[in-house]
Formats: sequence, C-alpha cells, structure tokens
Amino acid sequence: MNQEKTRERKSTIKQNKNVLELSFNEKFYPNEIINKVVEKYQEAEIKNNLVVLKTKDKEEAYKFYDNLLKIMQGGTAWH
Amino acid sequence: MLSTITSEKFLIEVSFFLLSKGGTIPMTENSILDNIEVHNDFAIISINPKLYPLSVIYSAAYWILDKVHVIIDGDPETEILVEIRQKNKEEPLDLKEVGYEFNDELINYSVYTVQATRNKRLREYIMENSLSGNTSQNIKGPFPQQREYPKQRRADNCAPRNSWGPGEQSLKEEEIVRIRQTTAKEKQIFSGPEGIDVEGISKPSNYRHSKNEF
Repeated sequence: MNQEKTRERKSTIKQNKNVLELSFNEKFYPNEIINKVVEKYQEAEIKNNLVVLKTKDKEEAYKFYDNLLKIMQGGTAWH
Repeated sequence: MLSTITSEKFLIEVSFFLLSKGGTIPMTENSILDNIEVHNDFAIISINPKLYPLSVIYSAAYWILDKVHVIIDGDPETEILVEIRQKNKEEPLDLKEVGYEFNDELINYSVYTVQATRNKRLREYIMENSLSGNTSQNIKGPFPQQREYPKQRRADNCAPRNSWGPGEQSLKEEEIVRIRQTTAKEKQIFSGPEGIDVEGISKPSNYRHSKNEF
C-alpha cells in the first residue's frame, strides 16, 4: 500500500447527520452540468455550493459523480 | 561480511534452482514511472496535464466507468488526480490493473485525437465534395455537366421535336435532293478507291422507309 500524499481535495463527500454533502472541483465539473444532474435526482438539492443528497449511502454519492462524467461525455445512460 | 556473502550465494542458488525448474524470480521493484497509488478500497491515478489534455482524460475515465466509480480532482495546470473505487465490493477488483488499463486508454485516446487532428482538413474536403453533389456551380473543372453543346437549328428555325415517329423524316425533299447531288469528290470519300465498292453499298439510295414497312 502506498502512503497517501498530502493533496488538497476539492471533490469531497461529507456526511452531515442523515444527508451527504458533495463538493466539486469546479475546474472539472461545471456548474451547469451539476444543475442538470441535480434536476434528475428527486432527493437532491443545492445548498451553499454543495449538493445535498438525502441519503447516508455513499454509493449514491459515487454514482452522482459517475453521472456527471456521463453527462459531460454526452452519454444518456443512467444508474 | 561472511554472512552477507553467504546470503548472496544462497539467493543466487535459489534463483538458479527456480529458473532450472521453469519458475520465475519474483520481482518486487515498482516502476519509477508508476502513477497509481492503491489504498484499501480505492486507488488514485496521477496524471500530468502537460502530457494528456483534459478531453483525453475525460474519455479514458468514461471508458472505465463500467468497472469502477470515478472522481476527478486536482489542478488542471499541475497534476490531475483520478480516484477510482470499485463498485461491487463482493467481487474484488484489482484496482492496480484497472489503473494500468486507464493508462492504456490515455494513450489510445491521445493517438486517436492526434490522428483526427491530422486528418481534419482531408475529412472536411471529402465532406464538402460529397455534400455539394449535384449542384453544378460548386463543381470546379471541366466536368461533363458543365459542357455547352452547340445548339442545332433547323433550316425553318423551328425547334426540333422531342420524339420521332416511324416513317417521319425531319429533312425536307429539297435537302434530300441536295445530299444526293453531291460532287464526285465527296462520292470518292464514301466509296473509297475505284474498284473497292463492287456491290455499290456506298451509293446513295432512298434510305427512308415507307409507312407500310413498319
């Protein structure tokens, strides 16, 4: 196993009570793409530049990042 | 000193033994170009943005989405980080191997991008010509569509008919008489040297068919 280098991460997932707060590196994930994906999620909203997912399952957060990438590449597939 | 030499000898002997049995010597050294950090349940791939443009990184990341979750982070000026995390924890996945596949795809998409850029002008030229198709004004050069044929006028200045019926003749009688009364020199052209046309096939005759012949 490698030692993790100290790098500043902007795309993060933090649990706050019963919700997950997702932050994004705006240099890789444009806001318009994030808004488009949030519209598709029924239990997601944007608060203070964070996307709040009403779940504790981190898998849902990873899927959210995957969907961002899919939308950016013009794909239509959805988890 | 003695123990060091002994251990080295032992290692050499073990190596020869493994090779003689068709085995391989385990390699523990990592490549100095290794850009993959593997952690407990995720791995981080470090990419130099000066080598690979962002569009290529997006394409390669999209390609591995079927196997792993992907999060892109870092700085597009200095270092781009791609975090990969396996989807199904019940089926363990070798993240190092996925990282190598990601590196392969980076090269794959880079080559594709370079070739597409090189062939861009050629593709545009082919598309322009194929789409311009039948519009003659866009065609350059002496193509058949642009030739202007001489307009044939009849003696009475009437437009020629589009259809011709059996037994009909567009020439007038006096024109036919004039053709028959060609000079001897012109006849010589048709009949060739004297004595060749024995059957007289070159002599003008009434070549028109009567209506009853049809």
